[in-house]
Amino acid sequence: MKYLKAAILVLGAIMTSHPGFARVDLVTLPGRDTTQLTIYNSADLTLVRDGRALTLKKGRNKLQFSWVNTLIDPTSLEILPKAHAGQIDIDDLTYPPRVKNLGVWHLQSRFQGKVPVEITYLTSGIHWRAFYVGTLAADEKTMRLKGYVRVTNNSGEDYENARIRLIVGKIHFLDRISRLANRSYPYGRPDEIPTLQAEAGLAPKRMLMKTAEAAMPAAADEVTARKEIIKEGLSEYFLYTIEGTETIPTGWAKRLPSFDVRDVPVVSLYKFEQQRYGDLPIRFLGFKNDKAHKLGNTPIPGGAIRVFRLVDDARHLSYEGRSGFKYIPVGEDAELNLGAVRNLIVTPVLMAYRTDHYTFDKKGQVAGWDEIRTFRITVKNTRAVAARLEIKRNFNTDIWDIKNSGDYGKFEKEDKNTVKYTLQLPPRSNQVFEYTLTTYQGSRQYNH
Amino acid sequence: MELNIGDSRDIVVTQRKMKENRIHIRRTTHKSYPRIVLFDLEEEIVATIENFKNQPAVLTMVEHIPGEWKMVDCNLDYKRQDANTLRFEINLPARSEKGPATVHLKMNYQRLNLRP
Repeated sequence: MKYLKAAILVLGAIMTSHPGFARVDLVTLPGRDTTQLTIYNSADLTLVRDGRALTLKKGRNKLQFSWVNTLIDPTSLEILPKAHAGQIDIDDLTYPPRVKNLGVWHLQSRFQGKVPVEITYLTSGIHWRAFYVGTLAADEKTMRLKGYVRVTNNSGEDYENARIRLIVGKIHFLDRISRLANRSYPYGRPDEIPTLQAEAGLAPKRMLMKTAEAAMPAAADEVTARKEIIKEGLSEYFLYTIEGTETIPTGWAKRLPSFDVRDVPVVSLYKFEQQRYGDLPIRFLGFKNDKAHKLGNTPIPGGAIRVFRLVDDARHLSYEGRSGFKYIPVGEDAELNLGAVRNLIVTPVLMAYRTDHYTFDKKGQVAGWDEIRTFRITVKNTRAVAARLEIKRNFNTDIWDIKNSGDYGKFEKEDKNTVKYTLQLPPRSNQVFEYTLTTYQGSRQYNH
Repeated sequence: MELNIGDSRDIVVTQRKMKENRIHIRRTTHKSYPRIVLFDLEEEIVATIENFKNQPAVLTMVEHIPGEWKMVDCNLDYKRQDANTLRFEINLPARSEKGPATVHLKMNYQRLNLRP
């Protein structure tokens, strides 16, 4: 069977006056009331919390849970009564021999009637990824930034009307849930099911589940709370709660909106560095994840972004480029690399080369000399908007002198063998500047 | 924008190196076996350009001189395209009844500070 038949059968075991004899009553399976998924992308781990209302009888109850054709880790199963907790004891969870994909909870209940319970377990096969669409204004000074998350369910189980939460960050998790789920028998690592009265020392994996649960305080209340986007910090991680509920059958993926921010101020920047990028300038889009840029409420998960630009009043769009970026913390600068462009042309040419100041050693051999190179850099902006261009020039020596001429904009030394020129180019304009670089070879490096 | 539409068979360029001498030679101070450490190279290039067409033509001739160099003498004007490239724009008249129109180019230059 392809899908999990969450066939939880409540077997009311009625203890009769004859010890050892139990009459089993089969009660109709109640459907899921609530479902909550917390997806840890980095570890292929999802914490599932199922809320159901079970009918229990006084005395011993048996609860059967099966997970055929899913990636559920059976050793992570837990059940928690949400009402009448003081009257219900969870004795154990056993895995019957010679039966696969099935576990049986034994409960002792001093209450008879409907009891809401929460069943939690870990599963694998559910992933999410973030991606974004940016739409630049015609003047390229602002951008509308829309974020989406795509949740893909390959766990083998359908999740209907589930509240979805995403964990941004990388957790240190020793096990792999898919491996645990695919083991033949779950009791390779037996764990005790803790009672509500006494929580004994928990196994490390169980502690992780507890930690994940603690991250979502007052879960029972939140399940029934009004829908809203909740973004909160969680130690080294960040928790994103997608608004509303979604139904994601197994084998399906769903794209969910994450945020939509208009008029984010951006800086359009071009960089030219032959050693790093080659002969074409690269376009970058810069912004900061802070309040001044209408962001800054939460970190931005890493993902891919596609950038478009409004070209006319009819809201036609032109494709500007795409980029991937990593996690952007609050307050951090972001620079999106949109790829090489051909509408801004930078041509560096070596115009002159000569050597000078030869020195010789005692034997008359060449000991040192100067190399003088003159470069001319021609820049053309063929666009109808202004552009800011950074030109970096790299030298293969640490000892050098430079002399600039022409309209070279702002000059600064970037590091020991790199200089940077920053030019502000008006629309459809040309600019030319030169620099003369003197490098010292041999003994001239120490006395020049 | 330039489109390459093929080779020309009506304009012929014949180029020869007429001279190549080492000058300004600097040697080590070894008494018995003084080795050359630095020298200049004096070169002369001669080119004959013939136009067999019935119409005048403009030939752009590009000459490359590697390394450090200094032009001593050249009979035609040129533009320095970059540190090692010269560009000649040569106007060729149409051929006459006597034969092709001919233009001569003669360059004398020195390549400086070469090592053996």
